[in-house]
Amino acid sequence: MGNRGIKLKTRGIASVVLLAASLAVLTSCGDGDARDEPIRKTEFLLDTVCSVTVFSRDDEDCAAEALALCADYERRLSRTVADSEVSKINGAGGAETTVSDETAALLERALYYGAVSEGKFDVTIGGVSALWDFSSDTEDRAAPNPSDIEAALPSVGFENIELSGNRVRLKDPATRLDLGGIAKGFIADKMAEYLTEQGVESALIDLGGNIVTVGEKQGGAPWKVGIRNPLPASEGAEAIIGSVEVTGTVSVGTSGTYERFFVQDGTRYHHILDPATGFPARTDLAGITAVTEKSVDGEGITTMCVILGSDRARVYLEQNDIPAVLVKTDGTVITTGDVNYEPVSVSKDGDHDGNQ
Amino acid sequence: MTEINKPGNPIRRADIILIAALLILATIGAALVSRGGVYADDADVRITVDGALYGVYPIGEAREIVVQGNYENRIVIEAGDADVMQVRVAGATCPGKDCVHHAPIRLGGQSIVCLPNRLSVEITGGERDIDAFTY
Repeated sequence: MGNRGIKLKTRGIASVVLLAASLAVLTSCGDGDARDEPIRKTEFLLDTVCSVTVFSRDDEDCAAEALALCADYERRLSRTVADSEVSKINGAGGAETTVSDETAALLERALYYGAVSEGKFDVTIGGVSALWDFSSDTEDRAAPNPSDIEAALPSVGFENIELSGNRVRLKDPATRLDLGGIAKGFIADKMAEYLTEQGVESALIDLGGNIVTVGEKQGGAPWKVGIRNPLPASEGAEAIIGSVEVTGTVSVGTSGTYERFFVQDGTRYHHILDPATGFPARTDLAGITAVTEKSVDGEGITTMCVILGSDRARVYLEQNDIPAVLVKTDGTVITTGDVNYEPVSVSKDGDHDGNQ
Repeated sequence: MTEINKPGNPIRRADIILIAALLILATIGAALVSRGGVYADDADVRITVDGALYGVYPIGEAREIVVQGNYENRIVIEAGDADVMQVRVAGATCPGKDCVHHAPIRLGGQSIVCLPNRLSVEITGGERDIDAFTY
């Protein structure tokens, strides 16, 4: 309530813009420039909803093909698909496995973020994450037995991964990979590459809220990506906390503690596990959205930052000049880098909220 | 202030009324613009089950839709002015009930998904301010 003056000024400017826009509409009714309907394909993949929207014309099959690519990568990278490359590595009992170039490239990025985060982001969490069930398909979701987590923790540690070219070996045979914290971004990048190769000039990839814009938005304006309000839903709460504007082929990805969780005996358990404890990360961040060139980096960075907490996350993001929007559990919003972020400034009941 | 009521100044009162009317309109508009929202009456609520179209309903008409699939979802469209208009999943028989716990949606392009029932409820059509939503 303390910065009502600024909000009113914003509203005043918006009013002028709106009046001008109204006049423009009144004077240019129907310019006859009919645009083709975008082609949109949606499928349930990666345990979420994935969609591809192609705006440029004559790209009928591209959206479906991009989703087929997504399904193909899921078969290769899922730890729950029996004959996936990841399952083969996990089941090798410490022996060497040969993987595809793509899986090797993804493991290389996973190791990078393991090192950068000093083990806070760790894809060898598989033995622990297998004990947890955050699936919407499960009734009465419950935290695992602490002694089971204790038993699985010694095999967690990215230094157990030995990667040499296309050859992978888990030094501890009990170590299990889970690429869930990074694979979605990697797959989104591959889909964007495919669309670009096919000559698609304008498209959107949405893998369960992990967004990649491809090319330019039709009409030349920047793409506008809304950030879902990560704070618990309450009466009058905004659907989004704001939006970021981006141009060209970039990733706008989010990690948060609000998306997959369950409540047991009054305790809330979210899906981002701390490799040090095997339990959901104790963090002061409700969500973080990063704008990155590659989505694999966006996913690595945002997942890592949630576990690190706002202070360490902010230092990392600022040192590396990464545009990001961090929302703390107390509602405070922090921006880093040159992120083009516009907060939502009026809440449902018309009152001005206290964000920023 | 008494000048306004002088017979020689009838335009002033009209001016004030006009300014007041414009301010009210601009305030309503500004509220919509700053909320990044699209509350056009021509927006629809599009429901799909397992990718197949189940139904399209105008957002301007309050209604309740019960979708039967592997599970049951009860979707409520709360119509009215911009402050009331929203869509939510009011009840479900799915195991996790994540769809019921999902915040109501109001903006063009927003959706609620029930993974166990392979249900998607999305606000489509109308004017679109936001191209995509990240979460």
